Amino acid sequence: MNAQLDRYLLSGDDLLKAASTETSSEVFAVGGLLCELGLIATPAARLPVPCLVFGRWLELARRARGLTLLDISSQVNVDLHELVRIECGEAACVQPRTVHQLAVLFAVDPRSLAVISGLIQDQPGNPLTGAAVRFAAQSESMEKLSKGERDALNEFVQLLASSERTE
Amino acid sequence: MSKTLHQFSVLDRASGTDATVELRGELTTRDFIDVERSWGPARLDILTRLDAANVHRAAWPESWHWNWHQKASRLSLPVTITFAAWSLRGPEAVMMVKTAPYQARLVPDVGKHLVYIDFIEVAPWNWTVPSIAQKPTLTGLGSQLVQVAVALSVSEEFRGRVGLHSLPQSEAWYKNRGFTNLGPDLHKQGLAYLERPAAQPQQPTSQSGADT
Repeated sequence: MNAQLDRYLLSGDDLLKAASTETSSEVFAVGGLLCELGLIATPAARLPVPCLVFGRWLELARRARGLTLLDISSQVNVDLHELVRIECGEAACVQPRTVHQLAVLFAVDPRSLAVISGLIQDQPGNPLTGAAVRFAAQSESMEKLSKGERDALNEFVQLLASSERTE
Repeated sequence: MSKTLHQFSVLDRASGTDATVELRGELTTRDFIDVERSWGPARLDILTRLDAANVHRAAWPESWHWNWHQKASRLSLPVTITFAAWSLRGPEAVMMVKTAPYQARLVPDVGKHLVYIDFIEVAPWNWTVPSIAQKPTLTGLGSQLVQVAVALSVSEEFRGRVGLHSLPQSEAWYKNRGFTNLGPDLHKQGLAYLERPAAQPQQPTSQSGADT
């Protein structure tokens, strides 16, 4: 390979020209491995709805109990970075174990939570889909839960808690 | 331990002169731990400065939460070919590539072997972070590592074909390096797949800026 390196590595003006194009911290960021490892932050424009809904649900559910992400991380033994990414709506590749642990902690149906997290495919006609979108649209990030947010959260939690939905 | 394969030049931005770094290959888990030991505090320092400057998190460098130690423990190193640029300061950049099972998608070489760049990252002190006025110490590392991938492709008799999935901010840069954008790949979260065609004899990619 050394002969090829001698031939292809840059020097002189070619190196200067190439170096001058590296003006941004992310000019050569590559995503293949990051996708595999679930580390990539998908741009908002391409975010699937489940990521946003799941993140919003986590934020409101923990705030309703007065918990921080650090509290949750230690209580359910889930990586804090993953929780931050979920709440920011960036966790396109959420771990099944994380969904299960959160379902147990907040006493909701794990299968429903798996649906809103995007972990499993939603079924056509599932009332959870419309409810999830309405929930995301109605809830805003604020210091305290407003009455509207609390009502939205309660309604959504009731749906999550029920396992007798139309599949 | 990793093995020194070659040396190459990059640009020391402060002095405006060339600096020589070692190209190392066959990185071990121990090497990745060393990378994280070296880069972790520097990354944390940048994050602290971003936070103090009230820079919104969406504007932070994409790689703020990447941890090489964690990644290395989840990687299947035997099927990944690893390279690093190493100076006296320590690791300056890391690249991971695969020679299988990826195949070319660009006509007329569809289905032929290529080198797939799985990941490239440079050390935090080589990032450009305009919001905190940080400029890179060394530049040219990314360009040289792409050339290493091309050289590997030629030595593997893949004729210089290289493929990768680019993050959105990087697509233009790769296009300028002779890569063709084949559009979003739904199997990779919609990231654009780019491919560099087989190298023309006597025309290494150092000239590829003129291709676009």
